[in-house]
Amino acid sequence: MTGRDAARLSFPQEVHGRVEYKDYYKVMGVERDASQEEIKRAYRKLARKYHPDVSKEPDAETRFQEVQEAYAVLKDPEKRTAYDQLGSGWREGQDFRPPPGWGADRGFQYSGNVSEEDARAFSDFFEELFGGGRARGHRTGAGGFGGFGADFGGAGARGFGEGAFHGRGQDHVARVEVPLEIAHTGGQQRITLPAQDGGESRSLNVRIPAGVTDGQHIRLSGQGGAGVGRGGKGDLYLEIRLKPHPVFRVEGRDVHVDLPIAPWEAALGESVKVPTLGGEVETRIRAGAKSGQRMRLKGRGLSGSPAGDQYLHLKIVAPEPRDDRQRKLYEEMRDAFDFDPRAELRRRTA
Amino acid sequence: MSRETWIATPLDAEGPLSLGEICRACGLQADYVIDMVQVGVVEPIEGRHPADWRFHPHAIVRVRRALRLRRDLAVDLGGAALVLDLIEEVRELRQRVRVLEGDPLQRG
Repeated sequence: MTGRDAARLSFPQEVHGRVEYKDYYKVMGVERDASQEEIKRAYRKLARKYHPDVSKEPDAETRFQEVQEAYAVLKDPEKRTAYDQLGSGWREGQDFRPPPGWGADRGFQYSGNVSEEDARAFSDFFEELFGGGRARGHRTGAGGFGGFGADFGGAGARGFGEGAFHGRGQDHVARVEVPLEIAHTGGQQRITLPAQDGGESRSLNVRIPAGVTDGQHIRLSGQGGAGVGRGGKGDLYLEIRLKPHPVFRVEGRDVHVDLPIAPWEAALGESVKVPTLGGEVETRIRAGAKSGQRMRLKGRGLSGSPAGDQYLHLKIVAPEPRDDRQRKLYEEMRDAFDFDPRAELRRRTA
Repeated sequence: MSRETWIATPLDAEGPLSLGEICRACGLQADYVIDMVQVGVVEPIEGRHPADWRFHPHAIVRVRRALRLRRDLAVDLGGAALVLDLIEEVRELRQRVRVLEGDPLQRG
């Protein structure tokens, strides 16, 4: 037995834990006998749909990674043949163990045959079949920032022809969902970064500064880490996503709130308490206010320099009459007002 | 698991960046960023010559997005510039829609 054989045979023993079978054809939505052209088309379509930079799907990042893994296998005739030889009897998610002697007698070595492009946080199943990353030193990325922070270092050195960035598999989009209250006042937020570079997902405590807005990017810099500087490669960029709030709707730094008011408040004017991000404030509804009117509370929006404004969208809400007296009051109003709420509508359609 | 706390700085809050700083932050060589300027992926906010260029820090986001789009969707840099503009426009429009849709509670 040669040394190479020994290495191959020991391969399965390196595996610990459960490995789930991946149905790459299902991921790509193609038949098992799909042509390379069909696979490529399917990939392009799915990549456009799930690319984290353009997708609005909530699970875009995960889906995109699955698609990339499936494509890495199916686009490569050698890998696809190997995968096909597992047979079609497997179900997605089924416990998987490679057949005995996997990788032998095929005339090529799987391990070492995996480009860095393929190594973007692919599944254990992929690792099991094609080896690759897990054995590489840099994947263990012990601790701190190194593992995912070093991501942008490599590419520059490789020149700029087509494919120059294929080694940048680790450059993922990272987003952090921040509750509006924390965006307003600043505060600690525990965030989980998706698995990158084949490592585990990891969570960090991040101090979010006051006044971040939706879609804004923040830079995380390691504390005292060597080589970490302004825009240095030890930095990590995150996109802020504001968690939808049940009351406040945010546009830029402006905050919008629907403010229900009673018909008599609208007619006669009234001082009302309204919620803002900074707590309740009192404001005056002017007599004669109309439904749909907007009132602006300057500087009461999301903090920042300058702070945003809060807009109140007035909404006149009429109570339902519950007894005879209340019904009578409505009847009196009807008779006392010579009011046609649809007069304007008619005038405009005439 | 790290116990320490990372400090986040909003990119917009930082001062303008030079070409060299963009290159370092994105792991790119200057020529490539200059190509990106030619096709409108990023635009300097001041400076007539590359050595004097200053970029809004948001340029880092655009450059890195452009790289990912090129890598994953096979668009060229000009296409990436267009996609970037559209991504930003769609984001603004989505915010607008959320505002106009009204009270999230009453929407159900």
